[in-house]
Amino acid sequence: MKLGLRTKLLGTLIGAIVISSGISAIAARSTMATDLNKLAAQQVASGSTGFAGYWDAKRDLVKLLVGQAAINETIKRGTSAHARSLDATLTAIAHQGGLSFLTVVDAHGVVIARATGGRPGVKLNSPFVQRALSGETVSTAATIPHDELEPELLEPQIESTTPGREGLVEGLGIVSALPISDANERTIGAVYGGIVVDHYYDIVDEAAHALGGKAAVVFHNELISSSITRPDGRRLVDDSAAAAVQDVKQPYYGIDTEGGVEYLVRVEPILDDQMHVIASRWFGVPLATFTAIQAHTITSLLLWGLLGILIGLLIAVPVVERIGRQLIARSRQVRASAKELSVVIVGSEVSGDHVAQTRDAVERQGELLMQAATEADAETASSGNVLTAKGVAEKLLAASVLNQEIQGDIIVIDTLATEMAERTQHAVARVGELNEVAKGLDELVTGSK
Amino acid sequence: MADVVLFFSSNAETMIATKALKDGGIMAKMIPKPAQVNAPANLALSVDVSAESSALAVLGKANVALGGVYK
Repeated sequence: MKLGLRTKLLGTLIGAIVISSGISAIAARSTMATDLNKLAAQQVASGSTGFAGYWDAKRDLVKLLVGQAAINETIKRGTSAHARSLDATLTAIAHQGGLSFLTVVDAHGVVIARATGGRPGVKLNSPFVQRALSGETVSTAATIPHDELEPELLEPQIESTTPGREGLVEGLGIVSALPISDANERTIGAVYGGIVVDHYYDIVDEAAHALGGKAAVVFHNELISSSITRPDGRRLVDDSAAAAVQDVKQPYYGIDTEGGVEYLVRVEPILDDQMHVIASRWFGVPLATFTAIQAHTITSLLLWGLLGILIGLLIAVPVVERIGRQLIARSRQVRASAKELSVVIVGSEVSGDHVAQTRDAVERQGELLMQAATEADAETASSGNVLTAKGVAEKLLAASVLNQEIQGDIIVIDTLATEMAERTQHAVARVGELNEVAKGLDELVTGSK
Repeated sequence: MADVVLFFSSNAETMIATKALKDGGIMAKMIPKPAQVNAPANLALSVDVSAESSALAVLGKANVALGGVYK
């Protein structure tokens, strides 16, 4: 298919703009992908660090509250006297500080009182209590076994809220245990308290609000606390974490899908004070936050490219039209000139032929005149009529000389005509070329033969 | 009055010389080349002997290469 000049020029212009826009879009996408990846990594790493800060702050708060309880004179006296009345004091401290549980044991680890109102008089087998009774101050994240949660009446807190889904049998806690000493600095008991993180949303919500992402705690590969929402708007909790973030032993950075949404996440293991990984902190930013920027930029570039095409066409169409009209006009001029030249060439060729015929005729006429003059002379000599015959012969001779002169002129004209004929042959070739040029210009402009 | 014959390297040169002499006001007649003249062109120019020097000057001024003069 042959394309016209207008189509070619406009097509080239549009093609150039499209290619330019395309390359710009690809370059922008590539550059942005690199820069946004760096930005996303920074944001997620920063958010994850912030989330860890909130976690540590909560651990310090637990330690502080439990520590204050350990030095509380009322608690000291009550511990010394094994007073059940400590329940109310412990409950007040726990409520004020937001603790899930706060328990006082005697020097043998037997529970004296609980803030939750649970059963006293039983031995508390927590290793943290044993360590506190030996004089150690403990503050750590810890797995709280079912045997500890049940007497503290905290078992409902770890039960699954997802219908048809069985909950965990252990809970995750931020705990602290400190010894209680009498006036002689002898250990007379211990205070053990903490927060059960299961379904405890203060930490994740504070972190999410302050850091601009989503936060969650993964324990036994389940989301036990999170600020992530499900598609229906409910909080995503008591559900399995995605496979990519299960059993995390080392910090993980990558893409994770939770609640049907893709997140760029950083997951850090939560260690207890013995450096065992017991859970993980999940912090993520929706991937759409970054892809939306890319998509918006690419769309903008393409729209601007489209606008560029329209502006380019507005400018180019009149220019191309003008060029096309000028070329067509020149083509017509060339065709007209070629036609005129062809008439000249034909005329020259015809007149050259006619000159050649005239030369032949004059040559024959000269021969006849010479023959007549010679014959008249011979006839005169034989008949004796000298005067008349001599006059005829002289006139014939003069006519013959004049004929020779005419013949010379004719020869010159013929030679000139022959010379011009050779030149004309060149001109014929040039006229043919001019016609081809005109034809080519027409094809170029119209796109058809 | 006697004439001199000017001849050139080609018929095209002879034609150019004719035009140059005409423009220079010199009367010249184009004739078939005389048999005695040995030149590649078939044509020659005949000018009056008195105008020979003027003709040569005009041809020189017009940068027309003269093949020779036959008297």
